[in-house]
Amino acid sequence: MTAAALLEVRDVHRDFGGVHALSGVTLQVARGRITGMIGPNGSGKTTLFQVVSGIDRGATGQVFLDGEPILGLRPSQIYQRGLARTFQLSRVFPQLTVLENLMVAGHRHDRAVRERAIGLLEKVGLREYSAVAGSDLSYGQQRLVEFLRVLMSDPALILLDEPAAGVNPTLRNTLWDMVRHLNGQGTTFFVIEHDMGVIADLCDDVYVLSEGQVIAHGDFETVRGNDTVLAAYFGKTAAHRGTEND
Amino acid sequence: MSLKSIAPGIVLALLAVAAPAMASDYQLLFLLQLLMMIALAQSWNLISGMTGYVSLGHTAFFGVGAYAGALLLQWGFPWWLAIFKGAGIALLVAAPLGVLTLRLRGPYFAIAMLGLNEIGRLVATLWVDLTQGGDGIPLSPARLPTLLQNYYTMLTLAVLATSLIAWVRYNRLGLELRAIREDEEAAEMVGVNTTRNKVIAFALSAVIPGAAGAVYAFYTSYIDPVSVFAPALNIQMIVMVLLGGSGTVWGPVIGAVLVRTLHELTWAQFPALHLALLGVLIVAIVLFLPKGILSLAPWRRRVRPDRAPGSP
Amino acid sequence: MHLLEPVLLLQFLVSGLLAGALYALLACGLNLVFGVMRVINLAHAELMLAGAFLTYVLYAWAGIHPLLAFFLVLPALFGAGFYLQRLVVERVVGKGELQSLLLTYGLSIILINTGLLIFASDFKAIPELQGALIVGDIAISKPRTAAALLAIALTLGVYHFLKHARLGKAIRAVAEHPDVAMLCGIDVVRMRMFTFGLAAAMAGAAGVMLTMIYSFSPETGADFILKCFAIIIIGGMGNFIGALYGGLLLGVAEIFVAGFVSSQWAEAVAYVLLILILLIRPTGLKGAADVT
Repeated sequence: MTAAALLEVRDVHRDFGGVHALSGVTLQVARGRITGMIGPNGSGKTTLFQVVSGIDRGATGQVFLDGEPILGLRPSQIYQRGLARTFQLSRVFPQLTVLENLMVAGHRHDRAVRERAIGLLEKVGLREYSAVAGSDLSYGQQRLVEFLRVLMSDPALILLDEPAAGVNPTLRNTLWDMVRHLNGQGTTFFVIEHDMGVIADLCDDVYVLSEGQVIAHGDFETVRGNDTVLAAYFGKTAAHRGTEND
Repeated sequence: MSLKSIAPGIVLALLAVAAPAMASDYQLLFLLQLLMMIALAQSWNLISGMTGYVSLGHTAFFGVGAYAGALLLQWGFPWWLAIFKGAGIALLVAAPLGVLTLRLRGPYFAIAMLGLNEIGRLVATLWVDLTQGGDGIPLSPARLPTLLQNYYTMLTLAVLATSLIAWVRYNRLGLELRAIREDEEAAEMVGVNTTRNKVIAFALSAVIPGAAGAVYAFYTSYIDPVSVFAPALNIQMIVMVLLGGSGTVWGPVIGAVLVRTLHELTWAQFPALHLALLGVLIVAIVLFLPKGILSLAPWRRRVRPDRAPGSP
Repeated sequence: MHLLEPVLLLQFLVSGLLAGALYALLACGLNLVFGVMRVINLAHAELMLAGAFLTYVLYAWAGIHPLLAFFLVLPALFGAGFYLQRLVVERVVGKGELQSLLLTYGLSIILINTGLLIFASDFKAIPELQGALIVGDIAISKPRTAAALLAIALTLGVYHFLKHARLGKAIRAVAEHPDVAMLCGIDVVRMRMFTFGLAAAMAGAAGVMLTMIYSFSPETGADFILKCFAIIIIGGMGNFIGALYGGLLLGVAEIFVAGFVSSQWAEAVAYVLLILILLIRPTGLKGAADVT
């Protein structure tokens, strides 16, 4: 077992009725680092997050969190072991208040948890929204609340699935600043992100997924120069993004 | 929970305790039925209002409790013990059923519960040796508790059920149940043990109908499969909770008072019209008042934020 | 007579299929509505009874034969369903199961009790088309055969329509991706009105057949709707043709249980099947919802 890897994925397969969403993915997320994952749409990134976080329990292979096997555990059990995640589309609890949204993620239900939640809200300027229903927030605020919710349990590893998508630039900066800050304090991140600027800036280590397989791995410069990646990813999506993003 | 928020409850409960001193037997029976519906509506509120799992067959537990209570009384148990055991048997039936049925989501759960109630009714109809089948069980008056005893027992159940809701609502369990209602997967992902919580809520929501079923058997002194495994009773629970406000503490109480009063005013003259009106009420609530009457209360209006902080 | 005689088994099979055809017609409509708009219509069996009582009224007051009434009941129920969707049901589409379950629950209570107000709770029947054909050693009830043939023809007809007709394809598009369908210029709301009308017409047709083979009252729907649930869970929720197989299967299973155990237990078959299937396969036998 590699002591440095906080999360280790070994030969994970996931089929959906004959479609190979993941075919033999093996990767490691180093402790204390920010690891990025990129790849074209439908390459299996989100599926891998679903499998690792325990929501999709139909995969085969092995997943270790801090050396302990976690494949087959319930999401709540995996969460108790220190892995938390956000979803690709915001999943705040619409009819719970912002404060309740955070408190539900605390391990206990006491004053300390409440104060921690209020403290987190204060940090991002959402304190005055404590009593507002989740659904009454703007989308960007919802994403931020979802991110704060994940922090309630002091997780060792946080998976972020395109956390900044649909978020305005100001809130986006708040978000990435918090990621950097938390990483400085020792939290490990595993991030799916389409913005190459962010990946280049933030990630120590990048995996590239295509058609359910890891096709490249290394730091951003290495990955960017890789021909396979150019063919599978940048070539295909450069044109695609051009039409989509304006 | 502050004193202020439970004060109306204490006043209501004290009024209910004092009521027999001034009410006629007929009025007392009306109150008894009202209390029964409060107890049942609150039970439904616990599983369906809080958790969002719509039970269309909660009368299954009422029926089980009614049969258990009636049979135990016939076999010589004192009435109060028969009620306890009726509740216990409903719990024993509900816990494993909860483990099985709560794996089902959305419509599948609702339909499974509907099926369970029908199975309960069929078992009560077909297991003639035990239940005397469709003829039903008449209870001998000598062993039955008095109207006053039934009344106070039902009052206790209504208070218990409402307190249970109030306790759960302001407790961690309630928070987790509401999170399950909103988004079960996301709740699981922030550490909520959804299966355990759902089964707890389901089992708790079965106990009080079990006890209430036994009391029902005693005050009507006769039960048969159709009258206790009665879909109409389930309809009433749902209407009361929705009318008042599902997931709230006082909504079902308000709903029960309104529906029973309406019932009292129309039932004797126009039984079919009365139920048709309930139907209209359900449709109207769903279309125009999805959060119930309590949502109209001025102190509940939330101020919507008009500007997002951090937005340019 | 010995119970395992081939003739008797064949008789059971035929009777079961005939009974199952009516279930199938009813359940297919229920499943169509669920497949297209994710609404479980708890009032579906009451629409069948609306058809049955309309047939009864036409027969009792104007002497119209049930088989002729068919041509009046179908359009009437189609229209009723079309506008019911427009005025009421459309408002809860996409609002979650609780809302639609409760709404249609309310509709069903209104229909049942309006029926009770008008017709009281006595059972009605139409004594036309009686007797049985004897084929070999097997007796085949004439009204049941007529009803079953009509039911199967209608079900397959609607299936064919959904599969191949332009309008049918539009309905399937709405079922699968309402947003995309809207972008493609399909009038999604109108398609749903059409769907509900179609389902109501199928229920009405089942009602016409009901008058020929059973006696019925405004409260008869409860048994049927529960059986329909069992059927669509057997066949897969939203799976149109799955409900046809499910209906036939339930019809046969009931007759066999009635023959080998008792007719009272036959009532329990649907519920036991329902629970068993849900416990083994929480999303129904055929799994994912699919209109085709």
